[in-house]
Amino acid sequence: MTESTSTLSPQIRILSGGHPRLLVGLGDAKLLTLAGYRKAGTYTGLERAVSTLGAEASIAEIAAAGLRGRGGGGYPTADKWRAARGAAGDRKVVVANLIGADPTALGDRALAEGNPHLILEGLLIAAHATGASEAIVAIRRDWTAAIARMRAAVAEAEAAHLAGYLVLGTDFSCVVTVFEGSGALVAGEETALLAALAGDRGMPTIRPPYPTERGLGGNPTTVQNGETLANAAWILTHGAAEFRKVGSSASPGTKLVSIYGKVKRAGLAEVALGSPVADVVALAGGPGKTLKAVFVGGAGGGALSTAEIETPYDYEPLHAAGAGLGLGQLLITDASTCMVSSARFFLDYSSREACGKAVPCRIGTKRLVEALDRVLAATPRPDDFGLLRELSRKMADTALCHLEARAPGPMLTTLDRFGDEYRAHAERGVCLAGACRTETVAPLLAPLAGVGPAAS
Amino acid sequence: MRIPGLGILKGMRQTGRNFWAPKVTRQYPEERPQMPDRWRGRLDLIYDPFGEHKCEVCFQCAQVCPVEAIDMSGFDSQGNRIRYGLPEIYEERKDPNAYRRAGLPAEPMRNVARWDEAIDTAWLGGVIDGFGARPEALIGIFSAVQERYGYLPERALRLISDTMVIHWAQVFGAAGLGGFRLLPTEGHLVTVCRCAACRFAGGDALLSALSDELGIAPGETSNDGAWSLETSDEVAAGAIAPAIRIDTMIYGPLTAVQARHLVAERRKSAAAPARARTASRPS
Repeated sequence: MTESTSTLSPQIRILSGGHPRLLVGLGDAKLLTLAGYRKAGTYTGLERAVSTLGAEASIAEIAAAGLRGRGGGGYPTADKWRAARGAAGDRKVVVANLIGADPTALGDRALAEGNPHLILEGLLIAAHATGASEAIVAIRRDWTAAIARMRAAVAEAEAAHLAGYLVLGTDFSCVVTVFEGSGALVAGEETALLAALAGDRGMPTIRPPYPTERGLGGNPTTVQNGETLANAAWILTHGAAEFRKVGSSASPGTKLVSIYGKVKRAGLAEVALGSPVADVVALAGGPGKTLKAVFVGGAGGGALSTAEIETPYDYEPLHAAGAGLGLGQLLITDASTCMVSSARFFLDYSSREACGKAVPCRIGTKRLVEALDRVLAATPRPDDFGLLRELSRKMADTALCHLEARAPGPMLTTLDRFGDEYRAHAERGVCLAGACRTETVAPLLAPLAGVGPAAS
Repeated sequence: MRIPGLGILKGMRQTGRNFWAPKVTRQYPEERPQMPDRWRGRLDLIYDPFGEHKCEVCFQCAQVCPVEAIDMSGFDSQGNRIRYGLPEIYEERKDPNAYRRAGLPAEPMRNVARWDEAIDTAWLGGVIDGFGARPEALIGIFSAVQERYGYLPERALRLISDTMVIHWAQVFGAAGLGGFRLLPTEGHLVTVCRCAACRFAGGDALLSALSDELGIAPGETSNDGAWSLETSDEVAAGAIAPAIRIDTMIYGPLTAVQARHLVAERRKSAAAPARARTASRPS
């Protein structure tokens, strides 16, 4: 694909390889118009759901495909839709989450810019399945191209009776509106997104009640990530059996992965879930120098060392390794990257983006950054490593949202796997990667307890 | 085996003991309790040996109070009457007098919100109407205002609050967490992306090079007011990391030398006019 003819922003580079499904034809101008999109054989999924299957059967189709939420949680989509369908309420809402909470995750942005009709089709299928009469697309406000294309797509679909009132001549009606959303990390959390849509400060609320029970305006609300909706449209177009052909048995299908860091070609790829992380790294041309660690899942994920590089790229195996799928962020680091300062970077990002509602998050992330700063300056307190672990555990225990619970992930995983780097920084003021400036740092004399893998 | 009434007898035994036990009521204020050394009881201001309040109404406590709960008025050591009330809170904070007392350089601050700025009310009303005055549209309305004025003027927020019948605190709160600018920027704005993609592709070097070139730290404006430097997560550079943004144009991928050269060239060319406050986004 040549860059000049692509309709995508230059920030998004599609990498070849992997298992492209949602990425097929992305960047082609034909997909942006309804006629071109229909020629590519779609909106047949919506037709099938609305005219042939009906709501229950289309949820069953999603359940048979085993689709799980692509926003990082991995909650089965069919269960969520069933809960929303079963919830009492005469006004139900579905929301497409295109906030793109982490700016390094490109998947949702690429889909919204390159194939807005695919997300819209998935959104309408979700609305039909859950019995919603209203659908909202919440897009990050600085994706101006995506917002314009999504609005145009909605207008076209309404004119063709694919959205709006009496879809495809049936009694199913769903009014779709596109709204801008703010671009903070926390704004992508579903309850925070609903708070922002209600005109409030975009901060998460306590669950339960889950949004499927009481969401926007107290009505049952289904919030789905853009990529999940695109997958739902794909399933109803191509069938559940076809969907299961790729991916692991626990989580079939593909995932959009944004690969960046010390790689030859940073960009966006689509991989089968369950394929080894090493294969995903190879799509970006591999690291320039020796691979040191792979940070999976961004600020809420964790680091895998080279020994764990064959871990399947899937929800449970990554979670067991202390990392997470997140929004598909994959950061590659090489031998010249200091793990302590990387962990500090991620914690600092979480700290800056903390909405401030939960005290353990607002103050805890700050204290963790301060402790890491002391380690980096070789002036740690004797109990600093104890503090890092203890505080992280408490934050996870008392978390209001998953962003808070998982914020210490990059630090904890690197502390377990690269304890010698922490030790060298704290005790001798030496950066083993040679990346930090340490000339001015005076080394510490007494050794510290608690570095390295936790004794459990 | 259950004996009827045993439970109530157990309870009555406790009651009986306490009934006959000596009472522990302390005869305050004749009897004073032993309190910890640092206990201060009711908050009170400290007096000096001459019986004057030691508080000089310097506002330092009000300035550091994170929830802005402190409100005070009084006379400073020069005998000037000062008030630090909520309506004036931001104005007073920037008051050179308050700065002087806090030991800060007492120059008038740059980038102070201009309360008197004229807002095109008809235009703003049209934007709100275009969204149907729904609360979901709040962020979209903020975006439109920021695009037009470069920041969210307080008067525009007040107008949004009045028109849409949303509490002012709610509007201000929503604006505060959305990554919007609440103060105007001056001159050209150089933004260095600090997202993970840029940081690990060498974004730190860009920031130090540009900071060196412009002679200002992030968050500052150069002395002639022509250039401002900031960092942001929102440039979202992706495949073109590391990137910088000058006003609204994104440049990347850049090395530190290239970034420095880019800004230096822009500074040299006198043809580049400073960004007008009402300039719209170039396509």
